[in-house]
Amino acid sequence: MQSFAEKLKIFKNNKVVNWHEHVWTDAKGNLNIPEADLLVESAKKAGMDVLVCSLPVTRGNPEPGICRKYNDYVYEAMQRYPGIIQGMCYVNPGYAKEACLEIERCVKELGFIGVKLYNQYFISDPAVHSVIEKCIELDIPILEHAGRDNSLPVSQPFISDGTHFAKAAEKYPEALFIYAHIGGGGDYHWSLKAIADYPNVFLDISGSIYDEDLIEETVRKMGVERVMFGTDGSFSSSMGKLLGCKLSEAEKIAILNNKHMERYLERGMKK
Amino acid sequence: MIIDCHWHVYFDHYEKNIEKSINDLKRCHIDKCALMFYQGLYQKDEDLQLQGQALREVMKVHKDHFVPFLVIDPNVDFGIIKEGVEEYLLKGPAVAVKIHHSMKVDRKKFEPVADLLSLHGIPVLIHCWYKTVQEYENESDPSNIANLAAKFPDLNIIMAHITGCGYRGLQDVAKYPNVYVDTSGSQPEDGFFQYGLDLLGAKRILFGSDFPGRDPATQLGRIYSVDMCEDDRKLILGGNAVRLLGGVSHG
Amino acid sequence: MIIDLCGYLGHWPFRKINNNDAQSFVKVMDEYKINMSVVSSLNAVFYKDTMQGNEEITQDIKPYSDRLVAFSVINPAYPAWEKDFATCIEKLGMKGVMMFPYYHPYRLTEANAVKLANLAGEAGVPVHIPVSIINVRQRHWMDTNDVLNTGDFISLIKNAPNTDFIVSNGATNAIASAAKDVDSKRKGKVYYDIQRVEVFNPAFDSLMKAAGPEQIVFGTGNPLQYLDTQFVKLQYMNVTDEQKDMITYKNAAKLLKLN
Repeated sequence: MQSFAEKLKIFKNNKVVNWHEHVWTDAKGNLNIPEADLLVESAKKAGMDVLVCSLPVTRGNPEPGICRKYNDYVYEAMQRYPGIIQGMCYVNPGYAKEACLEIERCVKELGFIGVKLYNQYFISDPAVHSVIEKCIELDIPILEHAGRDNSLPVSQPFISDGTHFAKAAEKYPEALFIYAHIGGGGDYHWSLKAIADYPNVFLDISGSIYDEDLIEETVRKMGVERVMFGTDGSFSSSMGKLLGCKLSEAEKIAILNNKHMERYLERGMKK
Repeated sequence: MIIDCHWHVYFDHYEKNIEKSINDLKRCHIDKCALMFYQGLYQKDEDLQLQGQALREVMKVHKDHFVPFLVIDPNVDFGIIKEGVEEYLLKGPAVAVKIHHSMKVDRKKFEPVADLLSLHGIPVLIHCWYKTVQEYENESDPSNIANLAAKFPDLNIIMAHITGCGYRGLQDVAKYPNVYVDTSGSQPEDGFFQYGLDLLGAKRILFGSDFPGRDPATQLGRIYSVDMCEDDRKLILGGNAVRLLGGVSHG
Repeated sequence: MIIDLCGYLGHWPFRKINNNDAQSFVKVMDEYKINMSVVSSLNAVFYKDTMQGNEEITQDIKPYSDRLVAFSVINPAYPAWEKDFATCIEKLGMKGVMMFPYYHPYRLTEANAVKLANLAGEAGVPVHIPVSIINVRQRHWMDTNDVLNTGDFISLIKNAPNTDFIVSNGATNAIASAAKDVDSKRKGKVYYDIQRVEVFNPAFDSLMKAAGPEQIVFGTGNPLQYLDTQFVKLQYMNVTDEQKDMITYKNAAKLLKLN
């Protein structure tokens, strides 16, 4: 029987792209550099090669100036760790015009490789359409914060679940949506069933939930090609659930570096 | 001129309700209001004809006070709806259509109605709200309006209830120039009207009260509560209604 | 050596689970080289009379008595709970008590709950209260929306000063910090597992600071959760070999009074 140390080597022996991580601000509102350093150090220890990071606003409705500032912090982190940290730009779709301009800036000038959206709107809200159309135009994926949170009281009234993704995917079959953290807490059965039949909805496995059979069920519904590795602050959970699932070694490796997503990374590396 | 584009009159004993409406208009110094008969949320087959005839009766005597709407329940057989539109909109006196919360307007079943109205340039006022609780079964929300507007770019849609639709609702429809919004109903909470003005512009906002659900005097107060040039205020108070609702030609 | 203090046998009503019978559960233990597991009856949580589940599990684990140890599920808001407790500990040989105040109609501050905790202390068996069995965000609409109330828990440990407690599957670093002052004045101790404590960020260090390695134990949530997550933590936690031994089995052995 393989020792656990041997089992862990799948991370060190293969390219690992972590599609869901963050840098954050410190108490003074600047990029939290020690935290970013710890993130990269942990990633290296664990055998991860690339961290795709964003800095979203998790509560409230930020004005465009805040989004721009936060994207600049992500860029700062990208400069600090070239080749390791790639950026996804965060925007507030409610400011449609400003959001689209910011996406252009981040992708064309700063080398960001995608857009991160949070819980300000459902991904299916018409208010988000301009952003989706901009992402289609620029051929970049959208990573949307997601979950079907059944706990009360409701803490995120506009968090998107699989049904919202399905609506958006139906309207925009050319867009590539990434359902964030299928292990991020919430009824994953609900969301998986909703997005299973939409080939332009992918997902990442990040999050603190590591229910047995989560990954197997994800692959049964989505297929391996639409699943990518991510952690979102939960390294042990995300690594553990992939190691513990009953997929083949080849399937696990495919998730660790999703081939379909490689071209977005390459674009970012060129900048 | 001040035109209240969102005014209900109960159909039962409507003559008395018409008199009351006229008194309330005078009390609030409102020149005209929409005349939208309320026959219940879901109509019987004969209701459209009864409504149309009543509109004609009222407009014979009180045309100076009212802008007549034909209230349509899209669940009624389309043949009956078409007859009603041809009789009471194309021949008059109605100039626009009202849809209650009887059907979500981006459903397939609504398309023939939308098509018909679009063809004849008939504007439609649609009850609309983003609710977190107590949503009515077939209530349209702004995303339904946005979908409808995208499908029918020549259809002029007035999305009712600016505060009910909220910031999110206004953002949903911002990019559709054929969507207007009325200021009627809900509590006149601070912020939404100003936001609508900034996002959509004065030409896309119409004053409405949702009488008798709301007192027109308080609803009118909202229009004066926000800084804007007087030309814009005039547009909102009545200019937009004249432009939008004066366009249906009666054969 | 590894002792897993948080395992379950039986049926979970809200989704299909695997390896929830004793035979396949032990096979999983073999795969992960877990020497011993404490198990409790999931059935008992949902039965009106938890004793039915306790009796079931006692039978189920008999062939594996060298590998599996059962904790009883006691609902102190149900008639004859004291008799059930006595039967479980004295006759059925169960080695501890599980309390689920978010599934059963009582609070940990109530007299019967306090009495149960003290009885456990007197009998020399620990009381295990998971923060939740599964994360409430994915709860079924008929499942509880509640989790372990930290304030109630601190009140309980204060009122049962001689009893050892185990808290699992939650933000145990935060609970440990909150309970530290009260726990330091007790004869009994609170032990914390790390099922939801990350080692790649300061959370584990804060648990070490609040509880110390003498009060950290190993739990997996088997079969509801992937076990590998805990093994990743064992691999990467910044502790000495001696501390790791305490976490993986020595503290548990002390709790269970194993030689």
